[in-house]
This record gives sequence, structure tokens and C-alpha cells, in this order.
Amino acid sequence: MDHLDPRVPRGSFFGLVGPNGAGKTTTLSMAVGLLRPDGGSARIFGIDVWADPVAAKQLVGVLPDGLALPERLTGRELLGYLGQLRGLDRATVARRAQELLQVLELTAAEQTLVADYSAGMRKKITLATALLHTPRLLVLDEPFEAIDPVSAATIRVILRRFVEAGGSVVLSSHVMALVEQLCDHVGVIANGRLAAVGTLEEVRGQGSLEDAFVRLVGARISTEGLSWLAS
Amino acid sequence: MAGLLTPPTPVATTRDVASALIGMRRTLARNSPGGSGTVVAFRIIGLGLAVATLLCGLIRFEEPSRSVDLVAALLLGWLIGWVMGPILVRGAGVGLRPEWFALVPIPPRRLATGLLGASFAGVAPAVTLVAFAVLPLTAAHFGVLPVLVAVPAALLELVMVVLVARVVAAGLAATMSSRRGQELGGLLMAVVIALASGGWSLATVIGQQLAAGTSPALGTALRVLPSGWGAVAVAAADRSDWPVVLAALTGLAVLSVLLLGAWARLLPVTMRRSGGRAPRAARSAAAGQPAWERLLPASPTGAVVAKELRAWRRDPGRSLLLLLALLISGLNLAVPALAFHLPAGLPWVGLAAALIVAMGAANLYGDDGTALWLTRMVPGVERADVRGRQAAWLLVVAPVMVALTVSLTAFSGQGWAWPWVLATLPAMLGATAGLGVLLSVTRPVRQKDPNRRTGPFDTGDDPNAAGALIGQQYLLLVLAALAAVPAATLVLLGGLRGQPQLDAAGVVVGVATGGLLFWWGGRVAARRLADRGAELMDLVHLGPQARTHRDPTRPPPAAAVELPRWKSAARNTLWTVGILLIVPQGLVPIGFNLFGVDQQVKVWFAARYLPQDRQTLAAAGFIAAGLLAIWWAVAIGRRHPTEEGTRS
Repeated sequence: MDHLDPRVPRGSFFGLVGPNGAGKTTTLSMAVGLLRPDGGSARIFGIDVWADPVAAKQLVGVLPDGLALPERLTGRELLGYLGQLRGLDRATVARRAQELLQVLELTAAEQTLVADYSAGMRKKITLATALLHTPRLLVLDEPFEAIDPVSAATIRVILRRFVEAGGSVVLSSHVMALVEQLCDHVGVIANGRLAAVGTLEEVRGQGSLEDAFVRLVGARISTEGLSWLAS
Repeated sequence: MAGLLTPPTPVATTRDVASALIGMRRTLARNSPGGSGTVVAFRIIGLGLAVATLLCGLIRFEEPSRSVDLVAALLLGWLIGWVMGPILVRGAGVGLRPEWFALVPIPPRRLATGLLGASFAGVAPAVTLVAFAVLPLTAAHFGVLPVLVAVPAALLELVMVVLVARVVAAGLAATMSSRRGQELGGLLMAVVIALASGGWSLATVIGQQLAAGTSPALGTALRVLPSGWGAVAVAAADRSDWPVVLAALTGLAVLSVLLLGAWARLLPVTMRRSGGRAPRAARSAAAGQPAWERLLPASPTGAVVAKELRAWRRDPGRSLLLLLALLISGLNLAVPALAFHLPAGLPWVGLAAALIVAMGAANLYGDDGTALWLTRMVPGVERADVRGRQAAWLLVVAPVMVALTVSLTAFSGQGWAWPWVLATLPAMLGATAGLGVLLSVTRPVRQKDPNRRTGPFDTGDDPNAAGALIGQQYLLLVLAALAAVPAATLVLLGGLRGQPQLDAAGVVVGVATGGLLFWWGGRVAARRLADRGAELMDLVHLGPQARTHRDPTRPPPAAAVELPRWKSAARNTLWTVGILLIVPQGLVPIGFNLFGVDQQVKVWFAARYLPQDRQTLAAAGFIAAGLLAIWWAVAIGRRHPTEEGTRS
């Protein structure tokens, strides 16, 4: 990453967009303290993630993309384990786990181990682990990928309410329409640099976010070749 | 645009398929990186075995039926080797995988025929053919006609052996497409690995029976199996019993056709496997909270212990590891102890199993893959995570090993062994739990993420990682064994001087060593996990080249410096030779002499064939030669990167 400085205002819904391999996942991983940057720092509500990791990690809930989980636990057991690890009392954990599993429609898979979950279910249970300890900032890497439309709508509602109540959300996605619909702030990453950042209106200007994105990333849509395929 | 597409390409003929597949296989063999060294080493060892097999054909027996038994047994050995080989060296080979052709419109039978053709394009069939030349060589003792029968018999045996191996591999792959099947396949693999390491004891028992000719049932069994049909045909040709010759040869041909058909039927099932992940299956995990869990403290450490104990109960990889340790230890120690009447071997079965199972603790964080992120995101739980893993390990492994050791020591009636086992076992168990977490944190080996594995022994296709993992596992095994040395020394002194108080001191020191290493290893590991957790996360996520990899603005990292093929092959061969010289040819004969094992037990321990007073000296010589070979192997690996460095 090269001098990336996306400032996420408090109480905002921030969308990070960029082409495949641009560095969205790396940026988010560094921001929450999963990866150590070569230089520079990351702050959550003014707390340096590397200087005071304990305080920073209490404030943040993370949904990473494509990482493993303790695979031999059921969804409920995973939440129970995590709650106990975070020092929450058993009754609270049990109550919250029940609600999270219900809202995210995972109660039908009560007996299923995480190892046997589908991609969408894995996203949902990971989102549940991010919400369990009532964080003030959510950092979500591609939260809607592989999620069915009904669950996606539920998650959108959860996230909107969270922001309305004063929480902040940072999410990455390569679906422009989704970011346009949900976020009030946007950052565009290309080649490890921040090509644009600001409110949605500032970044997209007059056109759509997709037009702005193609312009910023400097991509060219190929229209030639493969003549034999349509002959 | 007319909207009319050109007609699709026609279906390929068997000839096209075969030549394409043979070409593809050759290209793969040419392009194969790192792993090729291992493959070349296997070929060298295989060629050695093939020549040894061939030379067995020179042995003349008074009774012709004995040479038929011998050839049948040898060919059975090669058949078993062909079946076990692909299971043992998955990922290192250069074979074609049927699932690559899942979307190509080729009928399964044609694909099977093509793949069979490609199978013969490799080196392994050529090496096997050298071995199977034992058939004509043996037939030469009988006359010209038996030789003429032996040549087609050897070729048919080769085709049959290759097909059996392919059908078993395809059957296994088909089974492995469900999680339950993966567990079954894992069990099979555990048995194969155990047989590969400890099968010598069973082979020796069989070999002795065969040499003595005391068991007619064994001879019959060897002839009834298809691997013996070639030998049967040769023997029948010697008796001019032509119907039997014809039956044996036709039998082999028919069996091959049937196997090809079976393979063609299995191929579509194999190919249906998608991307490695097992299909979702409803699986009944234990509902509710088991009783033992309520006994755990409601602390972060208690949470980790509960999670780990659940993994032990539900992850077949872990239970298989325990089974594997018991099987290997049993085959190498318990079977010989019972078969050769050496009760002195029994007290060590539990200790050996404890050492082998220690290998499973060498890469705890690497085994969990990127699941580490969860621990990383919860503030201040590093100590709980490390201590919880240590405690769970001991809770599972220690009771089994203690029970095994105590019961077998009592059963063997070897009273002298008590101080030995009581002093060494606690040291080893504590060292494993302490140094295991420490190694896991300081030198994690990146593995395929657990949710992407296709079976309990699937460590990914990267031969370098597989090699690093094995090195790490042996390192922990050696460290755990070394941890027992101080306690064992005291017990040895106690025995030599006849001072029982030294025995008692040995037991105390053993327990103290184990406790100390458990505490110290966990402490350092927890501190390191807290301080360098991000680097650990980098390593398990992206591997050793993480730093350059994750930055898209930098060019992708240059390929790691690979040893040239022959150097890598030489290194692997030297390692194998070194271990063979040190353990079976050096340490085992010395141990036999120390424990006064009957001089008639010689098996394949060369030193035992010498006069008794020279045996230890010869064994020491073997150990020295083995150490030299290993030193040389290490030197080859070390020297290489610096050569590259100075050149650039």
C-alpha cells in the first residue's frame, strides 16, 4: 500500500471500491490490525491500532473475506466460544447468539458444523461474530458476496439501523450499485493508491458511480477480437 | 450477425485422446518444479528395489514350488506398492488428474484407455517392468518354454498392476467426495502409512513362514491372488500343464479388461467432485452441552479448551493421528515383541506412540490456517489461547499414553522397566505440549485452509510446505525425546550402581522437566503470539513471501530458488539412505544386543549376520555412515542458495 489515507468520518457508511487485486482487502486488514503495514499507522476513534491494540479491538467488529473459522463448531457453539473469549457472561452470550442466529436465518442449520456451511452461511455467521460484542465500528470485506437476496436485505437493514444509532460501517465491494445505494461516503482504490475519496456525491459527480469508477481506474472496455465465436 | 454458430468440434477418437494425454503428461513431467526432486528420489529407490527383485530370480531352490512362492510374493509386494504409492505421495507426482477432463466431451471408456496409455508413458512402469523381469529370469531355471510363457505373463501382470492402482485411486477419490467418505479414506490412508512404516514386522513374519515352508496356506494365498498368476503360469509351463498356463494368462487379460471397465465407471464419479470442498451434508453435531464441558471454568482459557476438545471429537484428522501413532508403534514394537518373544519391547510401545503423536502438535496454528484472525481480533486472549491448546492436548493424549504404558508394562512383567517409563513419559508429554505450541508460534508452516481441505491428510499441493511440515514434525519428535534424556540418565545410573534412590530421582526429574517445559514453552509462545501475531497471521495467510505478495504496486516475487533436479534428488536419496543406515541398520541392532534379543532374529539388520562380538562395531559404522549421508544431504541444500546469490 502506498500512502493510503482514507479518513472515515464518525457515524458514516463508508464504501471502499476498486478493481480485483487493487488492495481493498489488504487496506481493511491493515486498518483493523490483522496485517502490519510497512509504515504509517491506523487509528480507530483516535486509538492507534498498533500502539493500543486491546482498546482498539474492543471497538471494532470485523468480517474478513475468505478466512477460515474454527471449523468443527456449530454456529451457536462458535458464538458461545467467542463470547466467553471476550469475557461476556454466559446468559448474555446465549441471548445474543439466539437473536443473531434467528435474524440471520441460521437456526435451521443448528446441527451443522461451520465446516459444512455454504459460502453464504459462512458470511452470515462471520457477520454474527462481528456483531456479538456490540462494536462501534464495523469493518466488512465483501459482506454481500454469495448471500441470498433475502438475507442481503436483512443485513442492509441491520447495517442501516446500526449507522442510525451512531455506529460507523466500512465495507468493501466491487458491486457499484450496492455501494451507491448504501453508502454516504466512498473511497476508490486503484493500484494500491487512493484515487478518490469523499461523500458519494463528490466522488461520482454528475454521472453514476460506475462511470466515475471506470474513469478513475483508467480501464478500457475491450470490444474487439474473438470474431470466430460469433461467426 | 447471422446468429448461426459454426458446428461444434467432433468428439475425439481413442487415438487422439491417448496421444494428447501422453503429450500432456510428458509436458507436465518436464514443467514440474520443486516436487520433481522427490519424484526422482522415489525413482532411484524404486530402481534399486526393482534390481533387488530381479536378482531374487537368481536364487535356486531345491523345490521349484518355493521359487513360485517367492516370485508370487515379490509381485504382490509390487502390487501393494503401486496401490500405496499414490496415496503416500499425493501432490508430489506428475500424474494426470481425471477431474481436469470433466468438461471435455470424451466417453469415460475412451478417457480411461487414454489415461492408461498415459500411465505407461511414465518412468514407474519401466522400473516395474525391470522388477517383473524376475518372472522370465526365474523361468530360465526351468527351460525355454517357461521363459516364452513368462514374457507375456510379466507384461500382463504389469498392465494388471497399473490398472489395480488406478481403480483403487479412482475409488478412493470417488469415496472422498463426501465428508463421511473423506473420513473413511483418511482411515485407509492411516492404515497404509502405518503399514509403510511398520509393515516390515508383518512381512518378516510372512517371510519366515515362507522360507521355512511351514505354512501351505500362505503359498496357496499367494497363488490365488492375481499377482501370483504369472508365476503359476510359469510353473505350469514347466509341468507342460497347458490348460493351466492358458487359464492363468487369459485370467490376467480378462481381469485387466474388467478393471478398465471399472475404472471407466468410476471416472465420472471422480470427475463430479467440485473444487475441493466437500458438498454440504447435514451432520449431527452433539446437541446441547455435554457434561464434561460444565466442568471447565467459564474463562477464556476454558472456552479454548472446550473448542479444542470438540475439535478432537469431531475432526477425523486428529483421531486418525492418534490411531496412526498407536498403529505405527504397535507394528514396530508390539508385533515383533509378541512374534519373536521379546517382552522387553512392550513397555516402550506407549512411549513411542507418545513421540509419534507429538508430531501432530508441531504446527497447531498452521493447521488452523487463517482461523487465527478470530483470535487476533479479540483483545488480550493470546495467553488463554496458548494455555487452552496445551491443556486440551494433554487432556486427550496423556490419558491414552499413560494407560497404554502402564498396562503393557504390567502385562510384560518387566519390573525393571517401571522407573524408565515413569521417568520418561511425563517429560515427553510435558515437552510436547510446551515446545509444540512454541514451535507452532515461532515457525508456522502454511497449510491449506481447513475449510478447503479434501480429507484429513490433505495438506495442499505445495511440496515445499509438505517438506517443511515434515521437518517441523520430526524436530518436535526429537526435542520431545531429548527432554527425556536427563531423567533417563538418572535411571540408567541408578540401574548401573544399583541405587534405587536414583531411580526415584529420575522419576522426579522427569515430571519436573515435563512441567517446566509445559510452563516455559507456553509462556514464551503466548508472549510471542501477542507481540508478533500480525506476522504470524501474514505467514498462515500468505506464506513466507507475504510481505512482497500483498502489495500490488510491487512486481510479483521472483520464484524461490529451486534446487536443480539432480541435486534435489541426491538430497532426498541421501536423507533416505541416512535414516535407513542410522535407525534399522544402526540403532535397532544395538538395541537388540542391549536387551539380549535372540541371535536368531536377523531379518534385514545386516549387523546381525556378523559374529556377535563385531555387531556393535558394525552398527556404529552404519550410524557413522548414515550421519555422513545426512550431513551431505544438508550440505547440498545449504550450499545452493549462496551459489545463486553470488552469481546474480
